[in-house]
Amino acid sequence: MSESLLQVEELETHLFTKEGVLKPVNGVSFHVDRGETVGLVGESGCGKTMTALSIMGLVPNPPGRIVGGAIQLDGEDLLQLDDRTLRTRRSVQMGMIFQDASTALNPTMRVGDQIAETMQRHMGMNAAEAALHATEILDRVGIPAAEQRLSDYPHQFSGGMRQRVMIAIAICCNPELLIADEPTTALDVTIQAQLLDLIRELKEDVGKSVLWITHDLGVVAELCDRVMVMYAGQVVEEATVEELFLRPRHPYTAGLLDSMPTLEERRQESLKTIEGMPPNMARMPSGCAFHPRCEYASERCVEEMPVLERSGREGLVACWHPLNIEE
Amino acid sequence: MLTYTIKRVLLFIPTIIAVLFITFTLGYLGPGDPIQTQVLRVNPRLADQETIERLREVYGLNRPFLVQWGDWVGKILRGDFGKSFATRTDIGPTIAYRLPISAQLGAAAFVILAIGGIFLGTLAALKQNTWIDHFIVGLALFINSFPIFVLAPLTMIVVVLWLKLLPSTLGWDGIFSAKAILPILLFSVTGWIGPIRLTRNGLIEVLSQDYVRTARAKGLPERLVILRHVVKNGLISTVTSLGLTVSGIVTGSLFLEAAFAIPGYGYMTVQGVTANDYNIIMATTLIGALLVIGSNLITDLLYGVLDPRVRYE
Ligand SMILES: Nc1ncnc2c1ncn2[C@@H]1O[C@H](COP(=O)(O)OP(=O)(O)O)[C@@H](O)[C@H]1O
Ligand SMILES: [Mg+2]
Repeated sequence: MSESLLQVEELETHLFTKEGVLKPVNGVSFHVDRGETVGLVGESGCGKTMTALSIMGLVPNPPGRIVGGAIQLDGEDLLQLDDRTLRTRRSVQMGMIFQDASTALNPTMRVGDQIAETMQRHMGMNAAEAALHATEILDRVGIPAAEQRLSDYPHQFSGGMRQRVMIAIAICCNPELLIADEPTTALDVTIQAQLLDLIRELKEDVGKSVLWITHDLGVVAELCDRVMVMYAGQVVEEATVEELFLRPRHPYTAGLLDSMPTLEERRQESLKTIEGMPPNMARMPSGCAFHPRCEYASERCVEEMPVLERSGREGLVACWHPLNIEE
Repeated sequence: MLTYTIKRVLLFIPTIIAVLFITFTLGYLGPGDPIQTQVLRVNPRLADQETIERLREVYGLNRPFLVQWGDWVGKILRGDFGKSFATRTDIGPTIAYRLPISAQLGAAAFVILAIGGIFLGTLAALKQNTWIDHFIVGLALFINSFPIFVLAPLTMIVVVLWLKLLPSTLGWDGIFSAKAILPILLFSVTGWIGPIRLTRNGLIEVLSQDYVRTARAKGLPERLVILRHVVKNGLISTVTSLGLTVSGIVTGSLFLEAAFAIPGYGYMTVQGVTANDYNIIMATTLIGALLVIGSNLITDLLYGVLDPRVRYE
């Protein structure tokens, strides 16, 4: 099969709020191939989580609704499925690791039950079989004494261990696509590194596709094959990891790379950041959404919105004045 | 859970001792001398200082405070609440007859209050901001805005005089009689706003929690998401508050039983207070306090059952 596992086209998810209609996902297109790990990066608030929730069919309503586009998963348009059918795709076809495991796990339910209920639902297991499998999976995500810990509650786990439980829930039915929404952001650096190792291991074992959402380009460099950079609800650049790090095309990407702390800067705690703030989604600037913060902005950038176009050999960029283009 | 239970029960003991002490002290220091009151009632001419002193000795009222207290506690532990000054009969058997009436009334009211309140609160939460939600909350608020001593005569007038559904609603024919319906309904429905509001707000808060989203992300049917993940977490505050409802029912029974002439614990309390019948006052106060403490203990234990974070503290 040559087609991608996940193909998102012109996705539009709007939030109908008192301040007006926000467009956290504003015409987003991308694909994830089988066995591929794709990064989705961007500053906080640019619509990464909303993109993920749109794929899972979990956009909070109200205030949100998917108003346009298509999401093909394994050749099937998820937006055409009725709720009941879509539910059978969750866990089995796509699993999601949420950002903060300390709130994403049910505080009054035993961890084993939280994993087991998923498998009972989708894999036709009875309670005993599901408990057995839950032990295996906890073991696989690196939780010591897995069998005893099945009957523990989330508050009895450390932050890192809780995130491992979250991962266990997301992978317990072997989904084709794993969506990880900043799973390590809330954790300290050592734990973060351990979890990245775990994800890499799991990926090598099963060769599944991963959509890795993060605001940390460092993590992307370690884990991903390809990256999409998102800004204010739109994908502004897409490239392989090497291309993106060597030759960023979009000034925003270049800015993100510049603000990545080097070892030297980590020591001196002097961090470069991109000037200004991401736009308020209720009052988007005209033309290119990035132009108020862009040092290359021209009149055209103020007037006309750039579209995502092929740039050079690989990759796409949405910019009137892309960098590092050698014709 | 066992350590938690033991801890809770042990904490319960000093509270009971405190209640026994405070109840007795209130009676001891309270207004009106029981001997004087009684002597005046029986024969005012006998009210000379000498007779009063002698009666004090007979009733053991001249002993030191703590000795009297110990004596009182000892008797209560044996089920002896002393004699009513008014009727000169033992209070114990009276309580044994009257308390079950109030208990049946209170239990029936509690069940309707709890189950109805939780049901309506859940409905309101799931239909949040629709007319169903507004209707439920609005109605409960409206009913709650009338005090029971206004509602009781009002509903009696409607049921007996206007609709002529019953010849009379006064008195007690047992919990399954038609006469019991009105007091039970009044009792429960007037308190509905509490559990309805707590259930509604608790569920709405839980509905927006991340773990509910996780449950949906698992692909569970909405029915299971609500039952397993929303309801159990959302009802913790309701269940905890139901303990407070019991104290409402205990104090409410004073008005309600008096209004409906139900010969229960509440009516007995009111009669005792009016007659300054000091042993009855102490007995009913003590029972009321124990009921409230007992329900608080049960609440605490339920809290532990429902929320593991409390249990493992
Ligand atoms: N429930 C909501 N109500 C209103 N605005 C929301 C809601 N959820 C998200 N948003 C807004 O949508 C935008 C995108 O949010 P999100 O997808 O969470 O960003 P990211 O994951 O990239 O940090 C943000 O500006 C955020 O304020
Ligand atoms: Mg996010």
